[in-house]
Parts: sequence; structure tokens; C-alpha cells
Amino acid sequence: MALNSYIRIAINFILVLLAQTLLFKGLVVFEFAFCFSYIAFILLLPLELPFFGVMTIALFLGLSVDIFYDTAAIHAASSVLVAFIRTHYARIITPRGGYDTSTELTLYQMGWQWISYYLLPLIFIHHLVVFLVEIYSFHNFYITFLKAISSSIYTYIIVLIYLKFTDTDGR
Amino acid sequence: MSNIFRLLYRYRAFLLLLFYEFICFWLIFNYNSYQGTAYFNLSKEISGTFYSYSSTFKDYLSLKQVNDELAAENAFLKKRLAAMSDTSFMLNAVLNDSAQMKKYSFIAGKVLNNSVQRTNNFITINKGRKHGIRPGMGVISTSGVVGRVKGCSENFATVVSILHSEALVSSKIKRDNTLGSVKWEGGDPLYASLNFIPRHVDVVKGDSIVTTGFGSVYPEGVLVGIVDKIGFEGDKNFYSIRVKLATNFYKLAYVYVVDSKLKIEEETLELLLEDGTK
Repeated sequence: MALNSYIRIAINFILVLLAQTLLFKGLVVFEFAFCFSYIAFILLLPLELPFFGVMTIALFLGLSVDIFYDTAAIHAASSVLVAFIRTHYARIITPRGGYDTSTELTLYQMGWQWISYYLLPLIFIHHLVVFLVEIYSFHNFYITFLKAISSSIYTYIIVLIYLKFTDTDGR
Repeated sequence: MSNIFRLLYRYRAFLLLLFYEFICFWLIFNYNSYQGTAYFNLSKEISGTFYSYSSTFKDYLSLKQVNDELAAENAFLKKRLAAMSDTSFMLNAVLNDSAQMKKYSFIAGKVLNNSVQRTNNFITINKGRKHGIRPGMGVISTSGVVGRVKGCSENFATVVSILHSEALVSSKIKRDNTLGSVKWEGGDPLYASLNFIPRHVDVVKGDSIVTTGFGSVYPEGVLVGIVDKIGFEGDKNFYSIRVKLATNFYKLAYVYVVDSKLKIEEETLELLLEDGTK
């Protein structure tokens, strides 16, 4: 891959981390729905990146977010899990005709339906794992589940806005 | 052999996931006190039940020694009781603050599991939350200080013994009330070091080191150890004193958990003092 892409990934990493800790950390809806939009960075990495790199990036991004959230490795654990699942899951929801090589995961390339099918379950799994490990019991699971759902929707909306905003291909 | 490698290669993604998740969960349990405690409590229930079964076998072997110790303690307490029922003493007792006299109550517990070899040693006892044990309570034995309660479940409790790298016991030299602190330096479970005794103080071998009672963890005057060796380090302001611990951790069988009735009141008052000076 071109060096240019590596640098772009590194810069995106820092930007996503900054956005998460400076902006989204405090934007909690009704003290209930949290936004963990950094996970979008992992999910929108090109699909053909080797899984080793994706999972390692996920680990480090998760650990960095954990540093600011004062939780030890909770985000790292769920980010790595989602990074692992995403390749298999993308294969399951392959659009008709398959993926083109070096397809970028943007709204223009993939269409918002595919993006939604792809993002929503993975974001939900990620948030569910984060909240479950954080509360570490199934006591009041209903509340945890509700938190995960509402946070996923919140994060999904934020990510969709970001994608729409950066949808520059061809326009 | 090559089949194994081929298998590992086929599942390399999943194996990497397991490896990363293992690292993450190790970090989670190590550095998040809530998750660590929840796990610790669960493991305590399981191991406590197991140890209480196995200790019924082990106890049989140490019956004679424990009996002798209990008989000696009984004799000592009877003598003490007889002395206290002397009428002139009772007069003094009435004049004293009755709240001070009822300050401490003791919950007797049996040691189910003990360790002395590790860097951080813990003791499991067969009394738990339903017997009134709470984390932070001090634990003593007939011979001296044992440690502090770390966590408790319904039926068992874990005690951080003073044979722990971070355990400190607020102590004083019995003779002249000089304050210091006793810390176990690792290594020999029979000895610890007494710190912060300034060089101008008179200390001799054989001096008793007792608890100060500060912080309402241990009652005042519980024996921590006997001074064994006094050393000077050229540039330091304090002695380096080696103390032979009063409690023999190798043979610990029965302990008493100290329930300080006035601890909460003392702590809230001290907290108010901190807030007031801010």
C-alpha cells in the first residue's frame, strides 16, 4: 500500500482519538447514551487490510481511548473483538457482485444501505461489550441493553453524519 | 508436527483475537478495582468453601498445639478477670468513659488458608459479611497483630496479612511511646522492619513494639513484635530496626477480627477536618 495511505491512517487515528476524548466524551444524551465514534475508524478501514494490522490498530486505539476514560482495557477488548468480527461479517453481507478490490468504504462507493447493514450490528456489539464488561454483572441487564441500543443509535447517527460530510468521491 | 502448524495457521486470526483479548482482560482485572474485586469475591467464595473442607483434615494434625495455646490463653484471661473484679479497680472503671470501654468487640475466626512465602500474602478466614465482618477491619491473634480485612463475601473473608509488600502497621515503642511504622520487607516471614524512629530515641534490643490504635484498626497496645537488631545507616536520620514479629504466621490457626464501634465516627470527623481546611 502506498505510504500516503499509511500516513493518512496515522493522522486519522490521532484525529479520531482527539475527537473522541475532547468532544464526544462529554456529549452524553440524557446521561444515558454514550458516543464511542472512534470505533468507526476501525470499521471503515479498507476491507483488504491484513487482519493482523487491523486488530493491532484496534488494540492500540482501544487502549488509548481507555487511558482517557480511565477504564483499563475495556474499550481495547471490545475494539479488538469488533475488528476480528468485521472481516467475517463483511464476507457474509457481500453485496451482489462481490466487492471490488481496494473499495473504499464510503457512502458513495457502497451505498448507505450496505453501510447501515455493516455498521449497525458491529457498533451494537461493540457498545454491548463495553457496557457489559463495565458493569460486570447481569443484574439489571435490561438497563445495560437499553444503554447499548441507545448509544449504538447515537454513535451510528454521528458516524453517518461524518460519512455524509466526507463523501467527496466524484462530486 | 506440520499438521499442528497448519492448524495454527488456519486459525491464526482467531488465535490472535484470543491473545489480544487475554491481554485486555488481564489489564481489566488488574487495573479496574471494581472488576478485580468482583472476581476476587467470587473466587473467594469458591476457594473458601474448598478450604473449609480441606482444613477439617489439616486441623486434626495441629490439634494438640492449638489446644495448648487456647488453654494458656484461658488461664491468662481468667487471671486478668480475677484481677479486674477487684472492687477498687471497678471504681476506676466506672469513672472511665464507658464508650471507650465498649469501643472494640472481637469476632473469632478460624484460618482456612494462609501463605507466608509469597511477596503478597493473604489469609482466608471462615467468618464473612453475615458475621459482621467488613473490609478494613483489623485482625489480631492471641500473640499479636495479623493484618486487615481486604474483602468479604457472605461466609468468608480475605485478610491482607502484614506479610504484604504494602502493609504498614502504625506502631510505637511501648516504653516511651515513640511513634513509628512496621513494614515487612519480604524474605523471612518472622521479621519485619520498624521505620521512622529518629536517632535520638533510646531503643534497646528486647523493647516491645505495640500498636498505637490510630485509625481505629487495631486496639491500642496489641503486640506487633520485639526489637531484635538495631542498625545505623550513615546518612539517614532514622534507625534501621529489625523486629521479630509476635505472631508466628507459619502456625496461625485462630484469629480475632476487631470491630471498632467508633471507627465510622472517627473517620467522619477526620473527613470534616480535611474539608474544613480546604
